[in-house]
Amino acid sequence: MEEIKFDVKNLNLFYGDFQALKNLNIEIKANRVTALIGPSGCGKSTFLRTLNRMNDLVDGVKTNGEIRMDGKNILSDKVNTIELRTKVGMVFQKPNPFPMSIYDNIAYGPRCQGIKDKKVLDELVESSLKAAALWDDVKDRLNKNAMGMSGGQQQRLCIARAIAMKPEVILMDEPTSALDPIATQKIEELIDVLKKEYTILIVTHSMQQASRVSDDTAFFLLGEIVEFDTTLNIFSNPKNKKTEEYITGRFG
Amino acid sequence: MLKLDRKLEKLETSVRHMGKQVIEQHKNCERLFEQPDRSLARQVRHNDEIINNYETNINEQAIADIVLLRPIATDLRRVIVAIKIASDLERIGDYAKSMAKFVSKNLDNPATMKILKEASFIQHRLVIMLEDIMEAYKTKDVTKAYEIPTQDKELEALLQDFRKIVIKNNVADLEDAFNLSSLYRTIGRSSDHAVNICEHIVYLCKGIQYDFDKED
Ligand SMILES: Nc1ncnc2c1ncn2[C@@H]1O[C@H](COP(=O)(O)OP(=O)(O)OP(=O)(O)O)[C@@H](O)[C@H]1O
Ligand SMILES: [Mg+2]
Repeated sequence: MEEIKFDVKNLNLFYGDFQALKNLNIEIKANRVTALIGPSGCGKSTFLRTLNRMNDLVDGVKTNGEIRMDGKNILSDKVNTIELRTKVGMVFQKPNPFPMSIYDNIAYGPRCQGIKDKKVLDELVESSLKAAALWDDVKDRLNKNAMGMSGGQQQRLCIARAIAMKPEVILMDEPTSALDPIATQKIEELIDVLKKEYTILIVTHSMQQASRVSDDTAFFLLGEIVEFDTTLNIFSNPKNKKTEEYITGRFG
Repeated sequence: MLKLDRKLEKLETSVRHMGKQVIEQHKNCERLFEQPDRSLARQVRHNDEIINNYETNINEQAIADIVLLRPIATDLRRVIVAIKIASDLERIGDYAKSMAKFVSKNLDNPATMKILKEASFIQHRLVIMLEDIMEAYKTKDVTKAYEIPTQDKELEALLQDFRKIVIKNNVADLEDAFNLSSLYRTIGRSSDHAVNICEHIVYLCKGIQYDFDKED
């Protein structure tokens, strides 16, 4: 039986008067990669951000409905959002390393959590960089500034930084849109490895990427989930005409 | 129109042309059954090469479409089905060739020719069935694709009857009887491949793998 990581029920989200998410219902399974696809402005990023309450940081956002993570409603007022964001890490479209050394980039989060022991930090940095398939590239220059890395390396550094927080879920919003094909492939390979330990959600505009990396795919349109199924079903025999039009590039 | 749409249209047009050729071959076989003709028999044997070339060409087009345009969903099914139909058509074409060979070999055997003539209406049934199938492919008519295989059942029954007659009447010698019944089998096999094409059309339209053999 597959475990359900997020059970989303009747989720609505408003930016002021504008309803960006309309009555979403979806079950995200643990240790699987779920791709969110759909045309620009359909609410993919907004939905992703509800899963770690990043939308709380935006003025005038109102959310209702339920998102149960391992059974607990994370939309409740009682939820510690700092803790939630530790469990649900995020990687953004543009690699955003801090302007500090590679080592400090990774150690930053754990230090904020109060980890001071040098040995523990060393180990964490090494294991996170290894998990992000970056260790061999950078082990000899951990004290160099992260800004000097290539874009693809920077993005893997951001993934390593997320991993160092020991998350359960990693959210990725178009993580390879700024990368070349080789760096993209490395990230995709990495996602495949990471899903053994983490639940991953990825927003992507590349249909090929969605079909290569994900197990399940949700098609969003105008704030609604039009179709959610295994990636194989979505890309071989979608039920909804709109889904087929979108994935085959005949949309609109 | 998307480039992919244009390419898939072209691919399916090639399959339809191939179908036309194959049907032409079987029509000629029907003629041969009725009126043995050495040069027509030779022509049918010779034309099989054209059909083989069609299949090669369709496969090449299909590979190029997959590699360059990465079709998915219905688009991918159109490519796969083109390859599959071409492969069944090629086999059906082979059977026309062996029928023509049979005629060439038995031109001087009046007893065999007589039975062949009587069997030509069964061959005619096969031709009709092939025409119906290619029409269903052209119009992507799934209802027709479901119906056509009943024609195969009827054809099969006719062939059974015929085989019995051949054996019972003790026509010619044993070898001729054997030859004839294996010729009827080529009609039956052609019809089996025609049913496969119906399955491919169902897959094309519905995305499900249907097996007409398992029906009864
Ligand atoms: N902070 C905000 N304030 C007001 N409206 C917003 C805000 N953020 C997003 N929206 C609106 O909400 C809708 C969904 O936006 P969102 O960024 O989630 O779309 P998306 O599917 O991620 O698009 P893209 O593929 O372009 O990244 C859009 O109409 C957008 O204009
Ligand atoms: Mg977005």
